[in-house]
Amino acid sequence: MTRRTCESDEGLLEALGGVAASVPESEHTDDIRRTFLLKVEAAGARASAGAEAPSTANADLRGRLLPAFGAIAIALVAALVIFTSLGLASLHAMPGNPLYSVKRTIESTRIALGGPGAKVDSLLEQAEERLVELKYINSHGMRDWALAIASDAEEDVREAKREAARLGAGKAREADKKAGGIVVQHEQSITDSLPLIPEPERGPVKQWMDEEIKDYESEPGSEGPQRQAETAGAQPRQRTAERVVSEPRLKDEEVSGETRSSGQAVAEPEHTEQPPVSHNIEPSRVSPEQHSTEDAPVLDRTRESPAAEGTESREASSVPVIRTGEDPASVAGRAE
Amino acid sequence: MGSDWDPEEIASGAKRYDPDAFAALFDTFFEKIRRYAYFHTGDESLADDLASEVFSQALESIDGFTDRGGTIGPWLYGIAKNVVASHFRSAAAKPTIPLEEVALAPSGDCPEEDALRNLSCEELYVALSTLSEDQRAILLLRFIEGYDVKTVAKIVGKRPGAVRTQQHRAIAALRERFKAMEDDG
Repeated sequence: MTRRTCESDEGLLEALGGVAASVPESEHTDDIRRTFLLKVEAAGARASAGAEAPSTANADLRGRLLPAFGAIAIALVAALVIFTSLGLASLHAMPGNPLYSVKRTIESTRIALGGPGAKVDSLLEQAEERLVELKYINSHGMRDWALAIASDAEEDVREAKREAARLGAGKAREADKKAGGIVVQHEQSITDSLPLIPEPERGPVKQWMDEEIKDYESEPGSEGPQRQAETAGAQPRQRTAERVVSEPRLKDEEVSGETRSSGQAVAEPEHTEQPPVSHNIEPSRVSPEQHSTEDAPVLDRTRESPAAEGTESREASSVPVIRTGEDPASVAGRAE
Repeated sequence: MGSDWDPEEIASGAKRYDPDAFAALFDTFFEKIRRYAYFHTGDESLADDLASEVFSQALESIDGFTDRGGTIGPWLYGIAKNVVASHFRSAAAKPTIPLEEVALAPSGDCPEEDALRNLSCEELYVALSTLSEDQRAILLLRFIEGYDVKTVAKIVGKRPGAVRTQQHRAIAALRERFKAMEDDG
């Protein structure tokens, strides 16, 4: 038998369950049960009588409720105005902001009201929002929030996948891919949050992130960087947490022409420390915040030399640099 | 005492005021709810009363319950949580027993764990009573009743992330207590 260490919660919790299970049964269970079942019978009889009651009672009720209807309508409109204003104001609230709970309530309501298909998308959007918040949490060193927000992101992704699985294999695959893309996109934020997360929970969060990335990269058609690198015979990419060498930001060739012409594909070759690599992210999934804060050099990973992949010092000549307004295709040609 | 009914059958039967369904509900959950109440109050007869109150309230509010696939258990625990909270509000004070009375176990490779294994129910209650009400509820629901984080989150009205955080803090607090006791002993 493996000896546990005190660092693990498993033994403590097992012991807790063991002691708790030894609570002696009540001596009065039979009496309580009998009394309860008598109440059930009485309630059942009342319910049957209520169902058979004449409709005049309903008419009286309607008479009393109608005058109140106007007041209720006014209150509803007022509440709607207040909630709409609050909702708009809370839209970009971050953890710690007084309006943050309003934002979360609105998100939950949106998910509760959405249909099954919309629910999957809403949950994934919600997970992505949590990961954006995680970046904020990291930058502000908000230790108290890191675990809660990372766990919520994880839970949202899992829930979205469960929901998608209920809708069929196609939807499940689509949700898996989207979820993986989101996690890959925010890999740096999750990794940065790990030191803020208490030790016993750090492992599960990292494990979840790694699983999502692995699934995403093994997804047929996703052609993640890992997959591309392996196909090209290069070394597998390093995890963000393990990456120590500055590396120009790369962008896959799936990025639409619209995105390319919007000026995002701007290189900042002078950077010595670059943000993490973004892989295969649909342009629509990239949040405005990231556009503004991660405006790193964007290159076409598929065009870089396989030999350069994963090496610690990349030769400058192997890195095609995209300049503002330049067509990436011509950059590739220049590189060759 | 147990029951052969599954939670969904119990829920649909109870909605029709079927006495057999309510009997099954009682047989399945009474001891569990009572144990939950016990670890909040440390008093067996009070736990009987509170568990009984939970079932009375369940009967009164069964019309408003909507089963979403075996959710009658979590629903019942939600009522239990409110009943216990209401008890503490009305009692204004909860029984407290000094933690030092908790028996210490011989030290092994993990003293906190050894100490916990040798506790009696009363002593475990004492240890749990040092936690906040929410932390206690979360630990009981997660590791004694075996509900997952999501279900516990629904019962206690918190987000899953907050449940994990509270759970972690509760365990850390318990561990700290047992370690301190071991050091003092």
